Amino acid sequence: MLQRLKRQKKRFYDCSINKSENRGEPFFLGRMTKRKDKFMIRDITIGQYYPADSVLHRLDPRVKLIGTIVYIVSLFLFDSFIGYLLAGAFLFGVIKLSKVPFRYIMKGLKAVLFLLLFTVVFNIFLTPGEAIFSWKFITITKEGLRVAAFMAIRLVFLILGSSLMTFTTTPNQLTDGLESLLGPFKRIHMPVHEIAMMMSIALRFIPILLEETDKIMKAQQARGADFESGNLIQRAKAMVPILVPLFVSAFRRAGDLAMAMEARCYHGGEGRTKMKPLQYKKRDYTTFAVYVAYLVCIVVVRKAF
Amino acid sequence: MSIVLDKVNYVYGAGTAYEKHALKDVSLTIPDGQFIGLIGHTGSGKSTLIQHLNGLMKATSGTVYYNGQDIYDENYSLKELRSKVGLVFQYPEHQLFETTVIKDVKFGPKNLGLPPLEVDLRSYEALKMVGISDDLIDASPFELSGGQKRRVAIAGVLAMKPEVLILDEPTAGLDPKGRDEILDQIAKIHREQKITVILVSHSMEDVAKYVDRIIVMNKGQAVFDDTPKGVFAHYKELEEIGLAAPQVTYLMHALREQGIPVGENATTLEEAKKEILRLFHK
Repeated sequence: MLQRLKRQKKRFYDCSINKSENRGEPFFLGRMTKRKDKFMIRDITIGQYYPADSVLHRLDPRVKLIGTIVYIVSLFLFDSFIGYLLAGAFLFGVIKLSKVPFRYIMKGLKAVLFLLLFTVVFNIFLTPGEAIFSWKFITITKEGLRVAAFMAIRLVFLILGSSLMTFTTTPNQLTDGLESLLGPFKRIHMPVHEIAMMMSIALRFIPILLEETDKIMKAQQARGADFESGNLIQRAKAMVPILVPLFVSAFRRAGDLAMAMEARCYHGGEGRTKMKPLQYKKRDYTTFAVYVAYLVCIVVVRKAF
Repeated sequence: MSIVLDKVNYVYGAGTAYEKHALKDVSLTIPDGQFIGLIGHTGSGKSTLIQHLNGLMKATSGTVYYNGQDIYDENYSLKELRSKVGLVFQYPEHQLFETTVIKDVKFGPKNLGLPPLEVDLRSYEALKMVGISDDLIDASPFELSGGQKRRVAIAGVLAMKPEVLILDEPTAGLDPKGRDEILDQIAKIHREQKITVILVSHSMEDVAKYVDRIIVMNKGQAVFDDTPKGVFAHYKELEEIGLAAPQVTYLMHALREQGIPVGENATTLEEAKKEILRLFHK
């Protein structure tokens, strides 16, 4: 018992002093961030953070959030080749600036490949206009090809743009930024802080639960469990030895976390201050200026072409 | 009949920012019937190493042989290997899922495709081996105490009658009494079932009393591989890699420095007591 208490005490100091200060994360999450979530989500890169030291990484998360929204909106403002060229050049420049390897970013597209194909196919075949190819009930129109190509480019840009934001912003920064941006909604009694807290906890739990699943799967495999063979029903049944322990552990972790938060007097957002409040710096204002310049360019392109 | 590791390397997340060389050229031979302590600091590669022994992880380079057969061979059945090399993970109680204790223990032998009677027998036997009393057999595993849960989980692997039993920190989070009970039971199983046991731990103290051989891991390499006495003789180097020899070792060295001619080789409290009493009676 004494040993356990000691360990808990040590854990408490570990997380409250060493780990959280230098990262500006909610302190009770410190213990969980201690383990790097290194090899779990291998292929799904959307929503993943890529640690690097770049201007983009250092920007205020609010600036990046607004920037992403501005960029997405801008994609739907124009309808000409030059517009896409401009948006593409802008995106390429930002990617270069972020120091995230280009191949790594492209991996994120894999996850939405199906959606992309779906959009392209529908647009090609279902857009009315001047037919250039016709076979029985299938007609491909000039307009269809054009719309499909533009739609695909738009989607790719949209996905790359928003994944670039998550690549350069830690989940905690992101929720901090969101909380701050949603601040005005507090007036209409929206529980902004609680929503942000829930989001950051949920995000933080994803790698933990993935790791846990991996561990439980291995433990059951060590006991001869087989997840790969058998028909659908057998496979579904094989999931029980994973799901039951996973749920038990999720509840246990949630309980532990709630306890840890309460032990540190957490009582919601009321009167809560931040250790590292978000503050706009010079580079953030510069970035805003870049957005305005970009938007002006886009609007000019829209008017001119 | 043995496990041989030949220059095993393992790299996590190769090519990403999180790349980590978890095992570096580990070559080991684990003969039958040995009781081995695998010791290392957190992140030294212990857990990665043991997962190679039953094929849960595949080495980036290098090979593992079980009884002379290459386990990475296409025709080699990893499922069979896993029944021969039983692996009990850290906090094994987190893997319990059945409604009763006995059902949970049966999961392993059932997966081996044994006849039901054999499954029942083995499971009951395994529960007895870890000292679970009859009245708990039909209880829900979630009602048990921490120590009992852990024993049930260990029984779940024992019921498969492995030739090699690997336990990853079986005493983590237990009180001293529970820790001693579990370790004593493991030692007893090793004696009676004549199986190879690999005990992973970061505490020399726990291990020194039981094992014949200690392998020390540091940064993915096996830095020491010797009898407990041989390993503890390097207590200064051990400290450098964040480990410590049992306190008795320090006591004996301190006594020698004071000019009392005790042997330095005592690794357990019992041996130290004998050694000191021997001098005392002279």
